[in-house]
Amino acid sequence: MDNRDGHKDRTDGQLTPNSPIFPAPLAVFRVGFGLMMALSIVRFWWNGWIEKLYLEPTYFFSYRYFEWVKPLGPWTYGLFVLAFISAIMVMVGWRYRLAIVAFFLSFTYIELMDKTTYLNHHYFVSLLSLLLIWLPAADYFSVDKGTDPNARVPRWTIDALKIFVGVVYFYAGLAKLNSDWLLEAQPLSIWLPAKYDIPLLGGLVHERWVHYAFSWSGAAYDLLITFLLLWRPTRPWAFVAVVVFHVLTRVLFPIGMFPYIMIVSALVFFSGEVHERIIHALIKTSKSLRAIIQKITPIYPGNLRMSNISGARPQVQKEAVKKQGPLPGFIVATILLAHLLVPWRYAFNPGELFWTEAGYRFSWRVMLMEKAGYLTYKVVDPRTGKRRTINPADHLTTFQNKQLATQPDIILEFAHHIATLHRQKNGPLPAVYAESYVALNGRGSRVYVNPDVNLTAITEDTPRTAWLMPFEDIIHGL
Amino acid sequence: MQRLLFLLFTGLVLFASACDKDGANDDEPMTIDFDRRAMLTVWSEAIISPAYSGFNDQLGILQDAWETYLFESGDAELADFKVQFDAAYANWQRLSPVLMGKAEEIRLRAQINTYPTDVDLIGQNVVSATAINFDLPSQTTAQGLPALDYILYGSDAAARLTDAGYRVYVSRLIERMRALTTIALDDWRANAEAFVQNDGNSATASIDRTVNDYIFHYEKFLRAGKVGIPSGAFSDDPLPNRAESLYGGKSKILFQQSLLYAKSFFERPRSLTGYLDALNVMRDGELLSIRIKNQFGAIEDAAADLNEDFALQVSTDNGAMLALYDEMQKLVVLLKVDMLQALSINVDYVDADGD
Repeated sequence: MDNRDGHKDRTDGQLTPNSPIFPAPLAVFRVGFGLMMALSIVRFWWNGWIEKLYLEPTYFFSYRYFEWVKPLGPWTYGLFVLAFISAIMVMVGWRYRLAIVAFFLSFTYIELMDKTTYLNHHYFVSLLSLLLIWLPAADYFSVDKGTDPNARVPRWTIDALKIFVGVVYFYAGLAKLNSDWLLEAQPLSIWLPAKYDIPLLGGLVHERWVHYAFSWSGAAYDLLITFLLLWRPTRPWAFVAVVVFHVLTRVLFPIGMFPYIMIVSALVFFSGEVHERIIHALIKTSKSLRAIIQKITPIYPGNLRMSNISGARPQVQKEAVKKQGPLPGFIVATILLAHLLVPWRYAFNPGELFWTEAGYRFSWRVMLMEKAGYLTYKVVDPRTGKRRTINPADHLTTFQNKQLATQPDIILEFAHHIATLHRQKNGPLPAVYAESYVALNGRGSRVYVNPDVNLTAITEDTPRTAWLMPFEDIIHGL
Repeated sequence: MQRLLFLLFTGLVLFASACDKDGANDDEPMTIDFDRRAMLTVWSEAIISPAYSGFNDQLGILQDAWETYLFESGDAELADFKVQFDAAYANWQRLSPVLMGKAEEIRLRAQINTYPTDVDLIGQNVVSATAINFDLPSQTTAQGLPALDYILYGSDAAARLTDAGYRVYVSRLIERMRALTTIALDDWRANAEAFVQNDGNSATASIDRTVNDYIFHYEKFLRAGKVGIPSGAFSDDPLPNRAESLYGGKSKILFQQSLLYAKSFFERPRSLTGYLDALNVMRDGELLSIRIKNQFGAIEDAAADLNEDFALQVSTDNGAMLALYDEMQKLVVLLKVDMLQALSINVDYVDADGD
């Protein structure tokens, strides 16, 4: 095992998870994460999505056990302000533990407010921020601790991040091992031709071979990239591939900050030396920034320990590495175990995953399906037998309505909501049926929900195969 | 090595941000056998502009016919006025699906064709001493073509048409329709060029917006407005009084005209049919464009034997109306799910991130 990872390693004895290692990678990761998160929140606000997703709708879809998590009216802005401030605090490493906990709680609350806004990269951020609570990420290059050249952290804290990022890629790759993706080049065959107006590639995106090339290389990238990043000889080229891949996906698909977050996260695979160089570059930039600031504003808060970040005065510490205690390691191991196991829960549910979506979320199935749908409900009053069609678009925002049409648990929840509304107005519980069609990955539209099943009799625990139409095709693979 | 990485990274980031712009990119030649800008040109020159000028001109003819009737007050003049009114209603069917921009802003469709019209409110307006502000949302149901339909064809029409108050009212309604249409028409003419230039693939580009408006019109005004609501699909009971042309009893022909324009918008070789075929969109072994065309045919067949007056049809044999509604419903799914998906057109105007 090569010892050039961190030139200040203790080289006597074998390398164990607890071996002390210079914390530069952790620090750079923390700074990058905080910065990306702060930018994400600003972007979210700037695009008006706080209003569009959390203030305009009159109904919100809840996650099981989290029905009590709802938007807070005007106080919802407060959540975003809190998340932003704590992200900045994480970035500079000021009161790190408090900041990262605050960030985790506020960001996760935001995510839990409405199921229709679920995105894989938001799940990534939530889980990662939970993980970061237990990592000593502010032990170096932070306002809390300054830059102590003798600081050390146990090796496992950095390995945990590598495992975390690696699992995301690898599972995303496994998810692509299915017949729709590889043999039909779906859904890229639908998405790529629409990008006819991008430079360079625009002329090629309708070609069939391009669809297959993108599908196969995307799968290969996801499966292999972690290993290429881990192995030192291939690491620089792997990072080039990371940048190319994510920038390309950014151009092609509306996936927000995710590509940049992943590029920054992939840095964790580099050696301590690389990270030290990054930190030196950041220090130099901050010095020049400080000089500029001091020129502009003569009054400069000197009580913050920014002076420590000059690196001019190394503090000599007696202990080489702070004793972490067993608890953080244990919790991190538990989080990583959950990270590895949760994506497989779909296997316990019957039916085709792409159709029923039972266990589809939280499994790193990223940009894997093109599913569009159309849905109206039919409400039948049991006393009079009278029936009327309810258009969910009259009760939901366009965004929510689009998510509704293809996701069974959301369809079911809204059916129950309609029944409740009807009962409040008219008395007895009505029967609610869905007239619903879905087109999946280039197949023609099909009836989705069984139109003869009364959805008020169905619960979250009823197997979805019992109330959705059977999927009359086979998708091979994972 | 690191410098190379840094340069590469910066270059790619700049590339990415440069690519991520809304709408217009007019540098790249079209390399598949379908010209999107030509499609927009067809829409603009062969569909939208003629629709606007057709309706606008017909309103002018209508006004002339009315003034002739006021002057002469004869049966021949009245008959001619009715003919011109029916023609105006028919021309409206051509314009309604393609209203965008300013027309939406001034609520043109609502003020020209909201039905059922409010008979009592019209009566109040006619005798009102104070000036009526037709811009108010509350006055939407007392103006436009349905109001004229009532005055012209409702029971006791003869009495109304000779009443001074109603005559003034009719003049005002026609003037108002002309004024509103002129505003929308002038705005369209000013922006037609920009419309054609905006041939990108973003949610705010012309293709997305036009297709969304087309489908919205089909779903809400053609399917629900003309057939679904009167037949009681959205209510407990059928609502014959919500039919179009309630007093004139000419709902079927208006329906068929509207359907015809919807079909021709789709079926032109340089319009959506051509686009789908150029992308070779097959669904279940058949070209999607053929499936849609066939469904249009099925709708025409279902409507063929209905009564000219939908209100009467609903009252006597609603089953036939519901059968028509079911066929129209199938087309909604083909357009909204299959077609939009195949063309990667977003339903929402401003999309959030997708994952």
